[in-house]
Amino acid sequence: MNLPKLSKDQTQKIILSLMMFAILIYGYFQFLLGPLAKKDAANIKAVAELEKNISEARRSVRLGSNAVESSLAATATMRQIDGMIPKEAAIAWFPPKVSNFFDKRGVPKVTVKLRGTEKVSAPGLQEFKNFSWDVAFPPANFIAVITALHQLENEDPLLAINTISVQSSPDNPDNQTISAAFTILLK
Amino acid sequence: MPLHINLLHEEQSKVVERKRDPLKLGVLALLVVAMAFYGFYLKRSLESKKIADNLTGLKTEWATLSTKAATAQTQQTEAAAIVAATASIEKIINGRFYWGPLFTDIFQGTGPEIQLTSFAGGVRSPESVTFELKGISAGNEPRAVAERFRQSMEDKLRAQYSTVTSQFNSLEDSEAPATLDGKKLSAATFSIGYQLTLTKP
Repeated sequence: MNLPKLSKDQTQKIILSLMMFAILIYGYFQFLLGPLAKKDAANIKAVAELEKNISEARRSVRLGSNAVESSLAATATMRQIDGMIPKEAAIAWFPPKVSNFFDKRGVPKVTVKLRGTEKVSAPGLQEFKNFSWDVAFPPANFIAVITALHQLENEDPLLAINTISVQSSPDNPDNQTISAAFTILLK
Repeated sequence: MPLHINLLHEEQSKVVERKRDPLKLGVLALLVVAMAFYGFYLKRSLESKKIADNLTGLKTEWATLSTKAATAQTQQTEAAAIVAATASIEKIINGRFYWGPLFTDIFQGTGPEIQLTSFAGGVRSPESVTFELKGISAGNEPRAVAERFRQSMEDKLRAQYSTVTSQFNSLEDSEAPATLDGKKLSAATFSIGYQLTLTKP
């Protein structure tokens, strides 16, 4: 193929045209398409991240409402337990409560003394403490005391009887010396 | 044949030359390419706008959801704490040792030939309870009576508790006889220790 011989002027013009093309392509990618692609890449990354976060947030919201639903029974139980615990200091109400309880059941003059308190280590019970009490009964009929103790342990779920000691005396066979130690779970 | 002389040859050559001017053709081509580039740029810009709009929408949604999620997270933590606390309390309540049934068993298992003089019992651990019974057994063979009492009590308790062990801490003949139904019988004093494991069978 015979190409027409180009004059110097034409060659210069062709070179100039090629330079303009190069500038156009460079400018197009550098200043228009490049930043756009960069911005898109950043936005796509942000979209992916946000979609992931939103999906996790939706899951959290769903789990949160499920947890609230499933904890309704536990919340009711906890409210019930809170309702059983007077707000006053235990030393102020527990000894009279126990004395009155036994008094009503024919065992008067029961003395209750606080032995100590101990934090509860069970999970979720950081607010609770175990209050230990020494309970001394005057010489009394063993059957009456044991029956009352049985009622007490059934009536108060937060109370536990840790020790019981019964001693009969040959001098007074109808009445026994009885002592016990209680623990009650309180806030 | 008539002779044709093109007197405008030079002029026409210049026109052709002007039409084929590389700079002019280059500028034209450049414009075409620039138009195509611009069209593509517009298309990409629209796509980019869609992505940006999507991002804006998601950001708005995230702003609402993130608060809800934080609240839900707190609710979840609180719910878990309440469930754990309730489970712990229920475990403590259900794991309590009830003395009433034990005393019922002791009353029912103590025959007329046995007289109990002392009881001392305590919860040693959440699973274990020990107690000691002291008393007097009466009969022709008071030691055998005491042994039968120990055994029968152990059997009775075994129905309630998973493991029951017992042993004599002491068993001694008593010098003083015991009176049962108006009869004087030999007597022995005993002390029996019992250990119960609370898990029910």
